Amino acid sequence: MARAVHSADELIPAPPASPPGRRRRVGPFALTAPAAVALLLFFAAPVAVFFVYSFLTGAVFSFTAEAPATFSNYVDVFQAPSTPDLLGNSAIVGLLVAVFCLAIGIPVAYWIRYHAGRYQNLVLLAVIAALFASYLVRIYAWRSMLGTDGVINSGLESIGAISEPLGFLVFSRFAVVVAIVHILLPFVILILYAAFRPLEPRYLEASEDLGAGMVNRWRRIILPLIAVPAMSAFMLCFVLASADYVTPQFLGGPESSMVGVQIQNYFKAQGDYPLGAALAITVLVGYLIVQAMLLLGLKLLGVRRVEWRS
Amino acid sequence: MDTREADRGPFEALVESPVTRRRILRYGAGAMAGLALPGVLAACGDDDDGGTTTAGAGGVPKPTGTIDFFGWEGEDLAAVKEMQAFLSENGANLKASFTPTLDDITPRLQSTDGIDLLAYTSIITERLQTADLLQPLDTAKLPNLEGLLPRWEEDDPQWIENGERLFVPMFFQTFSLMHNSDEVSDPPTEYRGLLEPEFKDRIVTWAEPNGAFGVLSDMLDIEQGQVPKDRIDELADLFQQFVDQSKSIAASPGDIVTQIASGEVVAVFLGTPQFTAFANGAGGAGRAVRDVVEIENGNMSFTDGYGIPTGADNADSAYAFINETLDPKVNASIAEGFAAGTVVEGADEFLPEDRTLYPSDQIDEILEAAPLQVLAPLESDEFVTQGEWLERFTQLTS
Repeated sequence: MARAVHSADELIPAPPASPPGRRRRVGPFALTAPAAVALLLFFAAPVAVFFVYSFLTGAVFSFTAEAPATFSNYVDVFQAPSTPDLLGNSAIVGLLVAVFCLAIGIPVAYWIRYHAGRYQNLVLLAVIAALFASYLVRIYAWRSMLGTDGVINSGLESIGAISEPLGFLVFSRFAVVVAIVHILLPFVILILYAAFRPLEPRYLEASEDLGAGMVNRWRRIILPLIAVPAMSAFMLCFVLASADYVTPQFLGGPESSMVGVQIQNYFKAQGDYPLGAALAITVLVGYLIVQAMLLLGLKLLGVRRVEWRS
Repeated sequence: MDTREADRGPFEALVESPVTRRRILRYGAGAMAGLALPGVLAACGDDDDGGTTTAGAGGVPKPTGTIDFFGWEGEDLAAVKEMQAFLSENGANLKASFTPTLDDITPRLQSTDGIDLLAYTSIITERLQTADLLQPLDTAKLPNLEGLLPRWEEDDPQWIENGERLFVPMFFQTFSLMHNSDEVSDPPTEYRGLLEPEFKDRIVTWAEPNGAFGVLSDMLDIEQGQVPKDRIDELADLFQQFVDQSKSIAASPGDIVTQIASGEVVAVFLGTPQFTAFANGAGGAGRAVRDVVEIENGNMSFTDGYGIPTGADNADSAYAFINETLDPKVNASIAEGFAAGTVVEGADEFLPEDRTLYPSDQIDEILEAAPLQVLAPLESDEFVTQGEWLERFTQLTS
């Protein structure tokens, strides 16, 4: 008799019914209000200011508003010879970091959720502890690990695996990606752990009872259920990594500047705030396009958001 | 009471208790409160004590209260014992914040009031003055200016504009060819020597577009700051060769010091004796970092010193601080600490006898061989502008 394998959709609990009563309706708004106000003040408002700046006419550390608004800053951004390389470097680093973070983060979060047992909290604490060291300290730690006389090269030389230090380890895109993955991985693990948390082991056991092997379980149950949070983790990594301008300066090679460096140059070295704002808004639009593509991809794959009943 | 719960120790409780949203919020709030407490307590204190300044002998102000300093790291002179004694005797203190790059200074001053003392390299004086960020200095409050060497008394827009002094020098220096003498026994005497195959992937280039602009101009026999627009490609091509030769582009002086002291590189394109002093002072991991200062092509000097921003609220104390740096003994101590040249008469007498770097009786020759660094113009139809060079610099490093 053929064993039936059910898809994730069949396991998804129905969304909770609308909570009755006025008090329940107001509650969520009250709880989210502080975060919403903070976002409005410290994100939306500055972005709006930048958006307006980007249509002004810049001079050195000053700008003027002329009617009609000018698009020349956007034209200058796209005509600047450095823009394609900077955007390309940023996108590649962002993509590599996001992919590696998910590739490492998903199995680790899965293991913590289903196999760490009584040590689950301790392992989570260890993951969070990785965030306690400062960003710069971790960058310098990687430099000492990957350097010519670093731990890795010295170790490989001492066991006779190499005769010359591996030059690509430091001051390269490899080093930048390794360091940023290390910095962002704890965030990804926490996001994915939260995604696994409501997925009771009995769902997986049920799928196993119904004949799903490991591949089917991952393909038809686990991945669809964590796809949306995984996409959030992907975007978090992609945005933070591609916008990073400190790590590439300390660990990158001679030709590894990213778009953040140019935004800084426009603002601080040239004092051309409208041009810097135009590049910043361009990058923001780029992120929105990536986000839209991911959402479209999920939709095409038939993955939908899961609302767990508490 | 649940006996199982009661029997558990704190470790077991931590390990076995479920992670809930409420627990995270509770512990998160506790942690945030703990982290915020020191800041809250500090904020309760009176931070703004830039109080009344008393006048010393001859009307020279004495420093009092807190002097808010912003500028290059180290140029708050925290390591110069004479300056620390001077502040301590008068009950004043310096609250310092630093910048790794000159580019930080203008936006910082534009966005912040209350900086009393600014340390910077004189090439940006005109830019700061154009943005109305520097106040003309009252030379009556700086009697030690009388001892300045002639070069820094001359009219020069880097320190005196329309007869008004805006900048007071502290020391001067030349760019150098830093190298690890253990690895480079016969160092080149010009930067082009670093383009030889033996230095491939063994040098670091300082990400300082303004310094590179001046040095590269000089290497191509083009007057600094007056690079015709049709010659920017020559500059870029030459710089590209250094980029291709480099193992990395250092973001800051500290990064240069770290890389050469750790043995990651053996030489620097655009070093200074100051960086060398830091590299050797940092232990240098046993490496002997040395300089070639009389560079055949691309020899260039710069002057570091002080200005007082327009938003200063303890300016008299800043005057007192600046005036003290021009005391010959103090100036010698500063120059010694930064491996730099002194800028006041008689200071060399206080330098160690075996010191041969930048002797003051040869300053005219030194500065003739290493002209003062000049920036590209901000705007020009004829010459390469700062923005054009910066765009090219970024393109070459991306």
